[in-house]
Parts: sequence; C-alpha cells; structure tokens
Amino acid sequence: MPGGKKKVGDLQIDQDMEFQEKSWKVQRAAWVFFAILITAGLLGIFGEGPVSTSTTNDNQGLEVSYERFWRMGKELELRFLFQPQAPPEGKLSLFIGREYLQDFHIRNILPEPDSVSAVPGGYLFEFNVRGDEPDFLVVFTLMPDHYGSYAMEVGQPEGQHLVINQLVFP
Amino acid sequence: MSTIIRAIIIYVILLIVFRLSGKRTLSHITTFDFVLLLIIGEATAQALLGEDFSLTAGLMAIVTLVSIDIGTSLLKQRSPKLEKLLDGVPLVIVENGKLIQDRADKARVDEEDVLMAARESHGLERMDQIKYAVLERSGGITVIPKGET
Repeated sequence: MPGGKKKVGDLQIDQDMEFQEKSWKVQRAAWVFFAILITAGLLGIFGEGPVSTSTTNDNQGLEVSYERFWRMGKELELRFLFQPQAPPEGKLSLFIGREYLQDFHIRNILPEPDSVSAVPGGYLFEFNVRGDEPDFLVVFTLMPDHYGSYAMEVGQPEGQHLVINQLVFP
Repeated sequence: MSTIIRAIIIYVILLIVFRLSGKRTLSHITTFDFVLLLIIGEATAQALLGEDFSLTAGLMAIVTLVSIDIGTSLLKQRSPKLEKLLDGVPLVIVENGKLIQDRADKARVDEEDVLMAARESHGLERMDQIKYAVLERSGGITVIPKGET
C-alpha cells in the first residue's frame, strides 16, 4: 500500500510498521557502527594513537618516527634519529623522495639544513652537527595538502632507503 | 570548487548521522541539546570551510547547502519512498489512553513525554483523556484528546 490512505482506528495516518521496524534495526546497527568508529578513532586509525604512531630503522643508524595515519590540513611531525656507527665529521645527510614532498609542504626543519640539493628522485638535506656522541635528532614539520596513500622513500645517501607508508584522510 | 564539494559531503553526512541517530535526538530541545547543537555547528563549520575564510567561500557554502535542501525537498515531493527514507514515518504510540509500550521503548519515548505533550497542546491531565498520541516524522509528539469526533 504505497502512499495510500491508511488508517489506524479513526486516525488517517501513513503509519508503516514494517518500515518502522526496519529503520529501528538500521538505527541500532548504526549506533554500533558509531561506537566502532569512536573506538577506532581512540586507537588512532585517523592518526595519533597506538595503531598509528610507529618507528622504523634502516639498521645503519637511522631511526624514523612517523604516523601511519594522518589527516589532511593538520601539521605532522617526522623525527629522524641518527645514531651513526662512525663519527659524522660535522655533517649528516638525509635523502627524501620527491613524490612525497610534492604533497607534503615543509613548514619547518629543526635544525635548519645547511644545504638542500635536488638529486635524482628526490632531495638531499645536509645538516651541520657537532660532537662525537652518536645521537642526533632532526625534526621535520610537514603539512599534508592532499589526501591519499603515500609511500615516502627516505634514507641516508650511502645506505639502503626505507619506504614508509602513510595514509592521509581528507 | 572545494567549498561546494565539502558542503555537499557535509550535507549528506549530517543527513545520514541524524537520520540514523533516531527521531528523538535533538527534536525536543533542552538547554543542553541546544549547546550540543552549537558545538556540532562549530565542528561542521571547520570542516566546511577549512582554512578558507573568504566571503566568497562562505557565500558558496550557504548557497550550496540551501540549494541541496531545496533539491531534496523537491525530490521528496516526487517520491514518497524517498520521503519515507529520509524523514521516516509517523508512529502511533498511544491508542485509547494506552501507551503501546514496546513501540514507545524502541522510539525512546515514555509516558512522561506523552503527558507533557498532552499538557502543552491541550491542557490534558491524565493518560485516559488521550485518544491518540503520534510520534511525528519531525520528532514531535502530537496528541488527539478523547471526546472530539
């Protein structure tokens, strides 16, 4: 009886219990979905949480801390911890792939690199360092301008490059 | 361009979330609901405009939202099915002075809500003075008193 003149007692009303029951069921399912979404958010499925924050290293003295998941338009930190086996002799180099930096604008680099050069496939950042203690931290602050999945190629020029996967939500 | 797309996405998301949360949500507004509504508005505004604070973006967002709303209402007028889907259906919760308990529970309405609506609209005092009470698609409760035919 679609759209017909239905009645409940004396009341002319388009009550539809079948549809009503169905929509209650859908609503209950949606509440469960909301709860799952909140839990996933707390766990960090959209960034900032145990399933998102992670570190990896190239076994050659470079450790990268990053977020697996992030959101567009929110500042993101990438931390590079250098623990070189040999004394660095005043300089440390870091290679970052081109594709990644095209969609992630660099807001700040600490310390400021001494020089940045375009090299095949990406950019080479060189930092002045002092001291022989094998423990130097470089922090990039980036701003993702687009959403999507990214593979960042990163590493020391002479070493093996790491590929870091990041998913940026709109 | 992106403002228009954002506006469309937000319209759809809000429509789905509020439809799925059920009729009673934010229909009978208490002070707290009102505050909640403001916060939701604030969160929405951020997502709607991003970092674009231009007059143009604001204008485009408003025009887009209003236009989709007009479009939706036109579609609903043509298709009763869509109207049902988007607005739900009315539900009789009191028949001849008796609250239909399982329906009321599922719709998250209780006797107090019905009595309040009865007092407000007709100055009724008791349940047995109510012939019908209907939870409308708008989320409000309408009351038909006994003794009027």
